[in-house]
Amino acid sequence: MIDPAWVSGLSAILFIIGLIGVFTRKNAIIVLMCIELMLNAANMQFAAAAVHHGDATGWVYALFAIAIAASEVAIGLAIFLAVYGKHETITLDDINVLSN
Amino acid sequence: MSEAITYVQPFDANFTTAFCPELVLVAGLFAMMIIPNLGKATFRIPGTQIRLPYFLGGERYSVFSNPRLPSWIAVITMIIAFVEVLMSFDGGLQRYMIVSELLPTTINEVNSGDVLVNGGSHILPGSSKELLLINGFSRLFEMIFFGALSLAAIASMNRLQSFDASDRSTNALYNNRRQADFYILLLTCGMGMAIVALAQDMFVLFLGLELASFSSYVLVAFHKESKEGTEGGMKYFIVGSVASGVGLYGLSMLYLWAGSLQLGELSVAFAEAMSPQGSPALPLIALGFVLVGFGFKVSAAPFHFAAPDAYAGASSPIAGILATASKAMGIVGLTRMLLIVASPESSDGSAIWLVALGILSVVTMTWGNIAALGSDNPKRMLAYSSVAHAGYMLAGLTAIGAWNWDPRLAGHGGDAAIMVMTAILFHLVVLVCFKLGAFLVLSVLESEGEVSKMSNLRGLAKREPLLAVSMFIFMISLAGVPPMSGFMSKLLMIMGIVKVAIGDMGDAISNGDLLSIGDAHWVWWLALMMVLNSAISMFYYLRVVVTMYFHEPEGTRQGPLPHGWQVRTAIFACVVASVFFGINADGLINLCEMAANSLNYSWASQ
Amino acid sequence: MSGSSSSQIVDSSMAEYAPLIILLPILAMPVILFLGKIFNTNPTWKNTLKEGGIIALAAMGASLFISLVIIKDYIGSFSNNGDIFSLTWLNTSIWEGGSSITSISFGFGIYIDHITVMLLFVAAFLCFLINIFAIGYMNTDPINDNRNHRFYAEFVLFCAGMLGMVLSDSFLWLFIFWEIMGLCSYLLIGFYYERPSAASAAKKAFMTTRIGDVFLMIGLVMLWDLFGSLDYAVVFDTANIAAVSPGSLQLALGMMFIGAVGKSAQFPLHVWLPDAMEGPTPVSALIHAATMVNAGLYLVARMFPFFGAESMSGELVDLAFIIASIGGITAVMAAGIAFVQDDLKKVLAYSTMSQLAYIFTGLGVALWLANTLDWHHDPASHTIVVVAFGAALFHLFNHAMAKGMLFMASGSVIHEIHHAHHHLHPDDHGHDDDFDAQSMENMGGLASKMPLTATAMLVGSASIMGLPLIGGFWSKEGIIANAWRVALEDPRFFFPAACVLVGAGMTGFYMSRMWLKTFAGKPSNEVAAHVGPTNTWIKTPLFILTFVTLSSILLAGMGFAHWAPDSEYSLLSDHGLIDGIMYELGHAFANHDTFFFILTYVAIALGAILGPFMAMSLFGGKLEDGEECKPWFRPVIKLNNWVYDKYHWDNSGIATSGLAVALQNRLYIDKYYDLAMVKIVAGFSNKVAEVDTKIIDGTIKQIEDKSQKISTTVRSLTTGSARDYILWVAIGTLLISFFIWGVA
Repeated sequence: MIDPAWVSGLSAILFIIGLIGVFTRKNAIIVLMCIELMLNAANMQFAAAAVHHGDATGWVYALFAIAIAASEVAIGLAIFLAVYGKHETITLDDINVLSN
Repeated sequence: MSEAITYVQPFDANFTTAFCPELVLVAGLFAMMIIPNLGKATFRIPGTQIRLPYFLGGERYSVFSNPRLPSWIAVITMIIAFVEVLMSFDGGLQRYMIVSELLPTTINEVNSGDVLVNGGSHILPGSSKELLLINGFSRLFEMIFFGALSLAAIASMNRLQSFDASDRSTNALYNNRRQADFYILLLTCGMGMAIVALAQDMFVLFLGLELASFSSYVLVAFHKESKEGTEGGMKYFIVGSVASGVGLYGLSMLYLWAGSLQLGELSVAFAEAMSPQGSPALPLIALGFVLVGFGFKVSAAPFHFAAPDAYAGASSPIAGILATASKAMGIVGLTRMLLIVASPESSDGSAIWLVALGILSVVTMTWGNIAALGSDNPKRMLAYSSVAHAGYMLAGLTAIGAWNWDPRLAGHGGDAAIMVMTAILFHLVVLVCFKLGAFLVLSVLESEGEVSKMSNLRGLAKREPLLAVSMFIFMISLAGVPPMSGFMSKLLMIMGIVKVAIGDMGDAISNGDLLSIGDAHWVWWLALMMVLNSAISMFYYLRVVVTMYFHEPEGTRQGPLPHGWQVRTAIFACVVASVFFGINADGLINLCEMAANSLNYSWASQ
Repeated sequence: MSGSSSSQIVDSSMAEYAPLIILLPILAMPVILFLGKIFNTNPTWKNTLKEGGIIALAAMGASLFISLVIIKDYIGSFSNNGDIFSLTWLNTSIWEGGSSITSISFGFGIYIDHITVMLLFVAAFLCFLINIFAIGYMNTDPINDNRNHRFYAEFVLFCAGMLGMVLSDSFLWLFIFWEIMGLCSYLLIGFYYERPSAASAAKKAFMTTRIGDVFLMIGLVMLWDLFGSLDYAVVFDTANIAAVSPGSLQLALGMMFIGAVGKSAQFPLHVWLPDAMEGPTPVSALIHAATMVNAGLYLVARMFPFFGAESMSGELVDLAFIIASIGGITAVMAAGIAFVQDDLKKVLAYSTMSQLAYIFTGLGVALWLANTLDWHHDPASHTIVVVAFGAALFHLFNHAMAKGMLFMASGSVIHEIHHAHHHLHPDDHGHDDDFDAQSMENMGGLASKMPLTATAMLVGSASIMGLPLIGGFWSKEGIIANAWRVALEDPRFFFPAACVLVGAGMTGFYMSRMWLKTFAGKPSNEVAAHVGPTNTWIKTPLFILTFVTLSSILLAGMGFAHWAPDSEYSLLSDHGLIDGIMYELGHAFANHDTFFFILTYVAIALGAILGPFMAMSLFGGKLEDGEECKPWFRPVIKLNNWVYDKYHWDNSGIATSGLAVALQNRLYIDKYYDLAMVKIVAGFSNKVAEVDTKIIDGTIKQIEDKSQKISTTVRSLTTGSARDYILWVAIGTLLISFFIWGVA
């Protein structure tokens, strides 16, 4: 069996990739994907920790987190659609009617 | 104080008593889904001509031909929940702990009477988790949440366009449909907030936080016919998601490290980690990550950036919710995380996060005030001012962490910490009165066009004297001018922080020793910063007053505003509360003190 | 009478309603303002509700009713002094757990004792009557159209200020209500703000009383410093008084007395009072009779427990002397100025000043007696103190009633003169033409045209003069007698005692002069000849007050001249009414002590014979042929004619003398004040303004610019791009983790 430490390490890498992606990418969809990466990194960590501690609660946490991620995507895409309807773009830098 | 906690399993005997306000919300959600949808839908049994009516669907609103019905359902639900919370305070609050599992032997005991906690050991199976705790602290926060949401729901009643139920045009159907959407989101928001207030497990807390956040993202973007609305919603969503992603990752690290996210167990683990032989790196980074998630909710700098945009894009009642209830939700999270999990009891002296939070609070209040100083958009101004207020509350939290207040360890005596906590709670309650009230006044103005410039407020005193007086009261309350409730909260907070800073100097003072200010704990600087910041803030609050009273109305904006008795009622309630809690704060202070003490109790029990 | 055996004054639930006395007028204010704004031109509002006058009247009536019930309860048994109602808020119990943070409690309570009862009756009763009068006066003057609601709103707030000041149970609340009155007086004196003279008079009143208020505040702070509280219950406690140093207490009380000097328009802060006549006449009546000027007297009367305390025995005599002397100076000075005034209301204003000075002298004397005599143990001394203090308070009562009546009567005269003028010269509008409706030069011979007004004026003047058996006689004799009693003990008091004795004669002269110039003789011009009778709203209060003043003997018989804030003192139980009247008569006219026997008759001779006689020889004359007057004027007019014919005295030499000119110019005091204002204050404020614009404004402007710049910079970080926000979140995450980890 793989040592949970490796999984944790992988999840850390995923999280950092997600975090970097979130503020380097301009397309809102890709930013959303990066957010999903961050959430999934947390999921992996929960799973790894569940194995590590032999505690089933971690699995439950992971399941709930997946549900959270799913609804987040749904809501995000809905909002992006509405944004596209008004701004005709989902490039983050171009959407700045509101500032200062 | 009665130390008895009744342990309850979900759907047990005491469950409904314990959970009354929350169950009201659930019932309201179901009612919201069913009642407006009652129609003439029928089902034809295949192969026959018999049509069985099943009512759900068909022509929407055909039974209750009022498209405003969802708003009434939401308002009534919220108010009932609010009243239930208030009533639960009546005659001493009964404490309940919802746990995932109780052993069969103890179920009988629960049925026959309360299980007493003896030195922290209670009869639970090892795998059982503490989920939700109902005590003064959580109930007080529910009071804040439901109160704010009731006011926002009442104020929003006549905002959304509605059409006659008999109008079957697409536009009418679409708009009537949105009525239900809006209020379902308000109710789920309330549901999520209630869970946050009650949660005893960090993950449960996080779930509630996300439920409320998701609802609020959509509510911010609800006005999707405007560029501002969608944009504000999107920014709030993206930044909020990132923050909660960071927070969730922090939680997963905590779980990896401690093997549990139960508050009690985390607290014990922290105490061990902080001992000299502990290894603190992982939990400390995790703590920082979790703080980011909650920091966004309270809109602490530098996580506040999306807030002004969101407030400016959202409708005013929703912005008011973000500035009050949502902020209170973040404070619950911070309190649980900082004061229960990573409380100073884990080491002798100050908490580990003290410097970080102190810097955060000073940066937040200063940033908020300076940014508000030059802001020309009233909603952004209020948003920045709410950032500043978040800073004040963070300063309070910092002060609590300055010493080890554990009542079991005697020594410093916890009354100063209780006082600061009372001040924070008091501030959150009265914030609902005047911050939300100010947004509601803007909401009335929004009914004639957008409110994006200070000049939109011009001459309000001539056009709507009562509204202008209300706004005046809200502004001086926000600024903390004496007879108003805002003053009481700031006074309590500053006195509490100073008292904390004096701390163990008290004995030295009574001995007559000469002490310099340098002998006090450095948190007194936070009080000083609060005073300075309050002085700065006076300027921009009074600018609103000057604009309303001393400038002539703008060209097209003349005469009284469209009527809307609902929102005016809500504003009136806010005005009365703002003034009342200023001149007669005793009752509320006692309530807050009780709540603060019950937080202390859960400290002690773990 | 003492027959009522109830031992507690407040066993009835009326005490709970006591705050309503203050609250009702306060609540009436926004109602009147609000309704007035909405229904300004509505006929019901104008005619039935009298533009708010009826609402004000209802509020004042209710206040008066509750006051009367409380007073009745109180008079039923004098045993219970002190707080009858208290309400505490901001009692921050949360801080009691700590050792280093003091608990603050702040509340309002109602305090009732003899002084309160007297002042409460005067204020509530007169405010009510003046309100009736105001409806008749204000609502018939076209210049007031559409702004009477403002008048009534300010009026009720003013009344609330006075009632609150009288009823409150601490010096702090006294000060708060005192300031409310100051504000309202400013608003009401400047009611005709379009007239520059009214605006400047309002400013003058505000500024002058403000000087006094500053001292009052200093005094209160000192008092707080001494006692740690301003509640009467604490500061009047004998044990507490015994603990403070007499010197400090005297200084604090002296400071407070300066506040009273300002409010009650005594020398040298008297300059605002004559100018305050710029307000509408009901306001003059309100300020001079019912409220404002009595506030200062009330404050001094409130100091009685300090002077009366055994521990202070003989320590506060200097302050008592100062109080009496200020009174003495003002009494003579104001009476002298009143000699030469031609403006009807100004004569009354100076007469107010002079009579208040009597009361100050009386209070000073009573305080001296209380401070020196062993009145706690010696019954004879006790009676002396009680009588001296009672005389001063009773004079306050008599003066308030008489002066209220005189002002309302003068208002009625001015009102009718004005109407007649308007009727004869319809082209003149408003008050800004040459014709002065207030000048006595334009009056004369009105006795036959306004009989009730003339009667009221006559009775009021007689009361102020101290004509035997009427109103002010009882109290004035008491003040003079006691001043001399003290003068025999303490030679310094010869000065105030001589002043009040001379002042009595002067009062007789100027009050007679005023009546004669207005009502006797022939109409001085066609306007006065066309004056008609006045309306019912105006007549009613005159009628009532005439009876109150005439029946003053009854009150004297009931022992109102023996009135002291002393719970031991039982007033009505000693003797019945008839006995009381006989006692008072005997005491006044057949005193056993030869000195006081002679003194009484000297005072009567001066005030009731010599003064009026001189006035008659100078002014007045027959009514115009064919004019009939009421039978009770006939002797007065006849006597007047006889004196005028037989002893006509040409005073033109004196009238042009330097003294008369100086008096006409109000002894140049106002002029020097103005000069000082212009030279010193204006110069100073110009300098300050210069510094202000250059340095302070400049700095503030700089700060403002800088802060706006910083704000812009800070806000420019909110770029509007969500990516930047996320970057900040990431940076924040790193920083927080760094700080937490770093500190650990």
